[in-house]
Amino acid sequence: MARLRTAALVAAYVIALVAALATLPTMLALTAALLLTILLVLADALGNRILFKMAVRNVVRRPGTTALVLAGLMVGTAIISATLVVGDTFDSMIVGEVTDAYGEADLFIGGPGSGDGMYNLSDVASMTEQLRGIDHVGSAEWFLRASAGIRNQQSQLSLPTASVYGLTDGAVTGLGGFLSANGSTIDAVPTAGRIYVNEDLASLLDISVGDVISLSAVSGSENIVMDLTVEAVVTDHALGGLLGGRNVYMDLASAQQLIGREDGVNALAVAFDGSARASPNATRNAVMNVLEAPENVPLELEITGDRALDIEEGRESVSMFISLFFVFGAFSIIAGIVLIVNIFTMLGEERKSEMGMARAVGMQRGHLRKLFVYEGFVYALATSAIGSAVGLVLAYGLITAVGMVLDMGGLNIAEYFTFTPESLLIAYLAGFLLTMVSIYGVTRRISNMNIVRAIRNIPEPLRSRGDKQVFRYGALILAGGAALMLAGMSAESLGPSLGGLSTMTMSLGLVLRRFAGDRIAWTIAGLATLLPWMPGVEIFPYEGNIEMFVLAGVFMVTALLTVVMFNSDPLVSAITRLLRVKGGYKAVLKTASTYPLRSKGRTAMSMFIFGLVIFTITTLSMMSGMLGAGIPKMIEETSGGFDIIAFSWAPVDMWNEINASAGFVDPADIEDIVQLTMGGPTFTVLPSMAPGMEEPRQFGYNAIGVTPQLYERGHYPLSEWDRTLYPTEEDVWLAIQNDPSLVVLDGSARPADMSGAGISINVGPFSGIAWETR
Amino acid sequence: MAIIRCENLTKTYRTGTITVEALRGIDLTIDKGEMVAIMGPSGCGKTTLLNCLSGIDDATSGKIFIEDRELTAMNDNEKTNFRAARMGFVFQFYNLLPVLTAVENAELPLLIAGTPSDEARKRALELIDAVGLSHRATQRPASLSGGERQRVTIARALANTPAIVWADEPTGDLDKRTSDEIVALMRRLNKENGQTFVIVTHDPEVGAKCDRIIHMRDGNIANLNGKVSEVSAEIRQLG
Repeated sequence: MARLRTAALVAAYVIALVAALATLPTMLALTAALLLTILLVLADALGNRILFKMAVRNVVRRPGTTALVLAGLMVGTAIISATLVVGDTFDSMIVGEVTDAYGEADLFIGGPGSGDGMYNLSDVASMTEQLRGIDHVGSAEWFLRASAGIRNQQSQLSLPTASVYGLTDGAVTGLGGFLSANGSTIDAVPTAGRIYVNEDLASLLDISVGDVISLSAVSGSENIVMDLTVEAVVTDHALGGLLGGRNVYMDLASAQQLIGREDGVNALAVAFDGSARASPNATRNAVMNVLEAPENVPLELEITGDRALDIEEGRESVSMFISLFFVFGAFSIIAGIVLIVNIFTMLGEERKSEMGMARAVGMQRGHLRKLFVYEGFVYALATSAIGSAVGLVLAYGLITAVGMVLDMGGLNIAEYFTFTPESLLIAYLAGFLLTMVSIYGVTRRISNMNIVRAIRNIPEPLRSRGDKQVFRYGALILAGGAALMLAGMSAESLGPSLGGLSTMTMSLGLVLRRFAGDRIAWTIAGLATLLPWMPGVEIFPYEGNIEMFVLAGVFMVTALLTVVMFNSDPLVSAITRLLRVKGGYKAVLKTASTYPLRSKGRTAMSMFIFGLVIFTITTLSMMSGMLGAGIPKMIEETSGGFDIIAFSWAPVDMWNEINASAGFVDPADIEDIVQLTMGGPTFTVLPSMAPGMEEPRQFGYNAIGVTPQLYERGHYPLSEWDRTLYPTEEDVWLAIQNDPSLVVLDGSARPADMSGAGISINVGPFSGIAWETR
Repeated sequence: MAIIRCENLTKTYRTGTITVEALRGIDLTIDKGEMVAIMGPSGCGKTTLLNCLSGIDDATSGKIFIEDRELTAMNDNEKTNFRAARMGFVFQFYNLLPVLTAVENAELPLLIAGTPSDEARKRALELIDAVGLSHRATQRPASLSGGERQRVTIARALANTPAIVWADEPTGDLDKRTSDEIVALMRRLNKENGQTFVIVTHDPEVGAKCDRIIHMRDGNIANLNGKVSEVSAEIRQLG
């Protein structure tokens, strides 16, 4: 009768669960799954009230044990919760930053224009109208983006490079408008002679409304300076955060005047309506079709910024960090599971005698399992909630620490700390499931006890060598491992291949003990499992991902632990001899080692937890050490030994600036300043220079004019050069100063595209001069 | 009329290369309503015999019949259900569930057997009263004395109105006065309810109060109707 009732309950549960998962949205389905599981257990408990009563009373039986169990059980949930919340926060940061950078725009479009990226508005008017005619395109507005040096005449603070935007009223509206610092909305461009600055720039240069600032930009060989009055300080959101910079906004005509390009624009912002923003592919394709229409091809316009793509790429770029966190978290989760198993095994041992009696008076094995499942259920309900909350706190701590440790381009990730109800619910469900499955696994072992041995508290005997069931289990696991390995090999995936192989080698312990006894069998199994994970050993030639780290940790710790546990007696004996322990201390050592070795399974689980922790700490220390050694080396190589490397769009004499800073910078603190001229030219590689190339290819590149100070004060070692012509590195540097047809390329140059003689380079103001590389 | 019968019962323990024959072909019959003591020196197989006869341990070979049903042919669940319905247990160290009160411990076998909770509670209270503990019914084992705990154990053993009560050293952990009370209680219940009591004991006074003494030696039955004086002398001599 009881069995029928249980079967009916489980059947109803499965039907309801499948129906909920199939018909409800994800969140509701997960909630329904949780509630159904709780209902199932409670309904079952109604038919076994005495067991449920015992389970609840067992929970509060010993407060100390209960606290330990709660702590152990919530580890997994907390890590899962923290990982998901960290993901939420990064997602919030990415979406927030992209939204700030794009405002209302979904696409930014640009092209080479007349060689400097500039287009005349009249030349692109027709194409722009075509874009405005596309379904779901809300607006398409051109604007001008330039760079300029900036100085606040009131505070005397300056910045070598700020982004200057020349806008029309249409562009302001189309890109989402401005929000002033006092909260009012601004939908129009500033009048001529006036500008808006965003908060980022304003705080840096101490700019207030009414301040006069000077903008300085290079036009050809001429330096143009404009003095303008600040009309408003706008927030860094929407148009105020355009492309995420320190921005100055002015009317289009003034911006064109600043860079000396009348009627010039260089960027087109296209905004989609809400539905297309959610799924932008069709509208993006329609925009691409317009850009690639025959009449528009000569413009060579292309999408330079894509909101959806940037969000996607941002998510991909942080997924590595989240994976890394999850990988290290996985060790905590695994350790938590082992702790759960260990705790419940100990609880089982502690209650062995009373459970034996309960079996004697009529409790079946199933009743004992239920007793522990109910107890686990009560724990799981509580610890999953506590773990989810602890995960939130953990995530906040982690996010704050990351914000303090990592330079994220001025971003404070802690400001984006957020979490979604979905994440907490998933963490709760995962923790709940993890706890219940772990506990159920333990209950099988507990319930299989011998009644007499349980009542008399006698340890269960070890399985004999000839035990056929153990051998069969071993053979089954061996076959499973082989199947997993073959599946991994056919998919050329390292995880299942190596995981399958290691499962096979571990199962050797169960198989070989029949022929060689436990110690030899498990020693062989442990060493054989360890071998494929050793550095330098490559069995499968496949690429692994970061999850391999978890597998490596689990298998290496398990394998080593197996070898140690099954050789514990000779090891203790060897240690005793090695340390020359004598007399009473020998007895002490013997006694101390006897207790843990009496319950090898529980001792092994405890050691496994410690082993995983040590493995994680060791690996993290190694990574930290390598980074610690690598970062200074990288900084030394890229900085050439200089402490500060700065760029300015406006010509500037740094010693004059420092002397004029009235003590803000002490010249005595500066050993030397090397000022160089830099341009942003384009390399053009002709088909005749590169085999297989059909059309000329262009590469954006920085060109720096070299002076002797650069290589005398700095350290920029050369990698390759013609040693017959130039015996030393200094000869190379001298040669490029004396011969205008020579250049030195840095490591970012692609040898396949830029090696050989005769590559043509157009360098900014020196346009048209041919350079030759040697 | 025989309620317990076993034929050529053996039990062998194997630990590594060591083999111990705890029971060496026991043939035994115990009648319904008898109160029997199994006595003998330590290690003679008394407890092993009780464990095998009650079905909480498996015999290596031989057959056991309880109320003419072959216990050795039952699977684990069948044996468990049979124990729950027809047998009660009293052990030396009580083995009460510490999270349950005295009355809850007594009603446990009833609830496991599916008795409605009201009925189970009523019956448990009657039993607790019968063993003289009605004033301690709501106390948990930790706050009961050794004698009181053993009384609760007896109440629990009688909950399902079993045909047989197995008792393994029921007075082994008690002082003489309490021990006498417990044996008197079992004797009274045996007489009043006609239930069969099989008691493993070292105590000659317990044996003296039983209908019969089964004298065991080295895994065999030395005497199916032994004398207290002979068994006591052997126990004193061998331990």
